[in-house]
Amino acid sequence: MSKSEKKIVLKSLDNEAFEVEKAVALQSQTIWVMCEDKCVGNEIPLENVTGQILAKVIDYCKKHAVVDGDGDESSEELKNWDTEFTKNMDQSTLFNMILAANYLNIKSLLNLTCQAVADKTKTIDEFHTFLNIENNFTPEEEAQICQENLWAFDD
Amino acid sequence: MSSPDKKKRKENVPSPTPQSPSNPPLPDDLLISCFARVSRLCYLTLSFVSKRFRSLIASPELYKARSILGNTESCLYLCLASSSDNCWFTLCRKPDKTLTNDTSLKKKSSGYVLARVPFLHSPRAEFSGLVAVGSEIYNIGSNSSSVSAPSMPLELIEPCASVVDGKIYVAGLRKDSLDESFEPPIDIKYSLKNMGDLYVNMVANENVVAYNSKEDQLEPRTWRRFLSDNFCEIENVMYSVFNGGVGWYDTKSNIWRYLKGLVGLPDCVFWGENCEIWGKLEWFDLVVTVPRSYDFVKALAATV
Repeated sequence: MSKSEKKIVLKSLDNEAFEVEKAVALQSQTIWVMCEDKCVGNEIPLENVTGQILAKVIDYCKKHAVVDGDGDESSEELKNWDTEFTKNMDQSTLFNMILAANYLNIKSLLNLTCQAVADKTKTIDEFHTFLNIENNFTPEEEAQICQENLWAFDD
Repeated sequence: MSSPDKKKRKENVPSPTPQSPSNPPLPDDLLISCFARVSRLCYLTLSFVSKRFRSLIASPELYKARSILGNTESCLYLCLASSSDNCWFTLCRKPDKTLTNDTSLKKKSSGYVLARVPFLHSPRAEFSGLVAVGSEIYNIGSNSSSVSAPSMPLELIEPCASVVDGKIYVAGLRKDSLDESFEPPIDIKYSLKNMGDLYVNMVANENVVAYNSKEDQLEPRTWRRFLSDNFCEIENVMYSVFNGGVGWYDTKSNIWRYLKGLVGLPDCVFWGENCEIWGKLEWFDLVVTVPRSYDFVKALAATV
């Protein structure tokens, strides 16, 4: 009984179930509120997160729950882990992680993933491809921005 | 710990938007959260990405987010004036992809440019009246004064503003004294708490006055004439740009001396002996071209 109360089941959008320690899951403010507010039992449906992303979120929370718990692991090590965690994430995963961190309200994960986007994009082209943003300036508008900016008085 | 996710990606990600099969669009607040972590020097690049980015870069929320994150940076602002208006520029990293087909670009570039800052309303400004406190730039003495600054209790001719510890000090001639000699009818505003033996040097009418916080009074200083309008104080030393070089005021000998060591700075004449202060030139480059009719007003560092 007491053992099962410590565990919680998170169900993803695509019906994947993850059994995790309550301490791990409660890093999410959203889940915390859900647990407090309504008796959802042991299973919490997360309608905005896929299983693939949720697995990663849980990885992150596990790592951070352990560290926060006993404080043994140095912050340096945790930082390195965080860096590795986002290092090889493709853009789609990273974006979904940001959305998940936002939805689940896990501040540190949101910080980490937003920082990763900031670090991975440096050029205009990278922003176009990485953020999947369409360049919707017309050539005339582009020219005008150039005029207004650096090349304001060039001619 | 790689989970068995690769095979499932396709079916997992719902993609209602046809043009972005894998990437969900981020809402504005999350994009701002990302932008707030990008160096302010790169914002010019961001503003070229799309219309939405361009408006986000200009939004106050972004600068709030930077401040909350503690991610603010000291940024250079430059004010130029023509007969009709003022324009402001800020130092940025040059966007890597120039949108014009400009083939005349020099090979050796610092990578920096001055980008225009669109201000809705920029009243006339003078060198001595412009100060930066944190993220704000104040234009002291301008009649068409800006929004939130408290008005001065008394009108001053040629007000000269200085900032110490986040407080603005203003010195100048009282309007009722038409004495041009800059003798004591000087008034100081914004009284300050005791900060020990602190001097704020202010220059007006080519004269220097120092505010001594311990004595709570202004003391005229018998400095040699200022040779130009451009000066700044760094760690208690007054620097000025004149005759194409950078000088500093030697208060012991009461003379201006040239800064040594600025090798490579173009159009500089170096002379003088026993120089005690050395500078190091980090970079120089053409950052903006302006018509002759524009005058340099002031360069300021604001924290945004």
